[in-house]
Amino acid sequence: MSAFSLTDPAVIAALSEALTRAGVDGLEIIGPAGHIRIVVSPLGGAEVSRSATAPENSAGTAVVKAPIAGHFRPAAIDIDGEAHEVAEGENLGFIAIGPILVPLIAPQAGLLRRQLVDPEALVGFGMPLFELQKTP
Amino acid sequence: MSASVATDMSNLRFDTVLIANRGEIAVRIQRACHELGLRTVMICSEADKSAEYGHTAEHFLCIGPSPAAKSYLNQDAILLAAKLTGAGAIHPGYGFLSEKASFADAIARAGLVFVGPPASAIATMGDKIAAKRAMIAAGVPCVPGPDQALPDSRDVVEQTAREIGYPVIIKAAGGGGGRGMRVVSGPEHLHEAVALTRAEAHQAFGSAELYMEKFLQHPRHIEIQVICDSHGNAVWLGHRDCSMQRRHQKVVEEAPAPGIAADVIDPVGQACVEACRQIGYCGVGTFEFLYEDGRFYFIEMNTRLQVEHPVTETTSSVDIVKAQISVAQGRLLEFDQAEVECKGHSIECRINAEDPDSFLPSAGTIETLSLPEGPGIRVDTHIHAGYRVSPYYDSLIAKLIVHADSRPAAIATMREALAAMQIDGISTNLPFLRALFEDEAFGRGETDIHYLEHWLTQRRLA
Repeated sequence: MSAFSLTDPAVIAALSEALTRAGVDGLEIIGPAGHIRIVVSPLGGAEVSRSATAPENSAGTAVVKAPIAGHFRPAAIDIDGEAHEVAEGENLGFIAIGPILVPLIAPQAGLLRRQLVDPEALVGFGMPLFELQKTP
Repeated sequence: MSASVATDMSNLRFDTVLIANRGEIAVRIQRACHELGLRTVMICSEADKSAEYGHTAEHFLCIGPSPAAKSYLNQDAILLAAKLTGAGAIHPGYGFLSEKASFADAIARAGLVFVGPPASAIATMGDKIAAKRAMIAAGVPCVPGPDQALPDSRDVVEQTAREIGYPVIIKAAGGGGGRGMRVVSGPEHLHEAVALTRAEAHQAFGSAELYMEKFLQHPRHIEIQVICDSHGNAVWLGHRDCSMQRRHQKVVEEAPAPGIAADVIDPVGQACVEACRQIGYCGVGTFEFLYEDGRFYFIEMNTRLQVEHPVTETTSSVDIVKAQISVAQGRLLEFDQAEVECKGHSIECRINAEDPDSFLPSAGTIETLSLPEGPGIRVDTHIHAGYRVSPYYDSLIAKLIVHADSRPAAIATMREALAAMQIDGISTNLPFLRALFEDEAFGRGETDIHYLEHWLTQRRLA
């Protein structure tokens, strides 16, 4: 079987369309290259979530990057002053592309130490958005 | 579909152009846009994220990973980027998606303007048989051979080759860039060549359709530059000689083509203009010809901006990129054929990041850079000291263009410019170009499309 990229908009669009056509509610794929979750809305359209398996440095800090170009919409998490604890799979915000919201999912449990981009900023593919330190 | 979009004036207005390309041509297009008062959006891959040219754009957006297939060739990602940034038009530059009819079509369907011809014209010219048929209808001289696909019948194939006369060349209808073609010197090799080329064509281009033409033995590669607006106006901007090629890749281009009299080439230029009108062409385009024994033979039309457009710009004094964007906005061409006057002689050298002997690509960081300056010297480039040449893309890092009153004067200026140009930290083809410009036969204009390969072979043996 040939490999496909979970960061490819064409792959996401094709998967969303196939699920909608088949009447399937959702799909989740976890692989070494990343993690994608598509939930088909009963109102039409799909919500897509994806997270890169961000590499950790020696201090156990991972960077959550934008999986696609769009406008950055962080979740209402107050990380001013001190780190905020998040669970693996917790929603950290969205990348908005017109009416489509691509959720940003924490790839691991840990302390959200820094938000690196201002809300509503236009971000490109791969732009670092959060620093996340793994909890022991 | 595309034609109706192209004639709908309300769809042709835009104030922001997304440049779907990279490197020197992205910089060149951005300059033209800014001079026209247009905003620009630059896209990039991860490998190009630190490119300085992105910082002079309204938006500089990374759309995908470094491999071109996931970024510069990713139609969906580029269309998303245009939507996100409010771009009203997409300029494809050259290479990548510039001659992809489906991309032009998708842009039009998204309500945006493709800075290029209608998708239908790209599709027609991308099919070598359809293109040849259209050229014959417009009176453009073509290589002897039928304007239809080769049938499976061995008898008909043999008869066609006999009528054309050996040597013949078998070509894939959907091929290009030197791929999917085979020369046949006599009837004993004909059927094997047809079978091999058909299999290759099917595998490489998705179509097994072939055609056969007379194989010219020592032709020159001559081009005619055209530009057309969406109101039926078309002009040609003179001719170029691009015979100096290595492995079908142009290395040195010049305008005008040396030694071709006006009364020989003018009717060909007019036929090209007429062909553009007949196929409803809009935008810039290049008719490519083989030229042998005083006769022109059409080979293909490139439906995009060419790498070598600067040599035509410097001789015709027409800013081709600005004119291209202007006609994409629905404006009339600002000049007619009578106003086009080509003066002097221009030469372009492609400066590539590659070993000057083996021609293997050379990636790395440019440590020092010294670009030539002076009257009649132009350098189109995106590089600077500290720039990292990526291994992911084409090795072209700069174009050195000179213009002078005559060909000998242009060659002299090019020699000086090549001597003054210094790029350290990576290997470049500068030493090879310096040696080539000392070659006497090249200086006399006595070259054909095989000359450079022979010259390189002789040089290796010496």
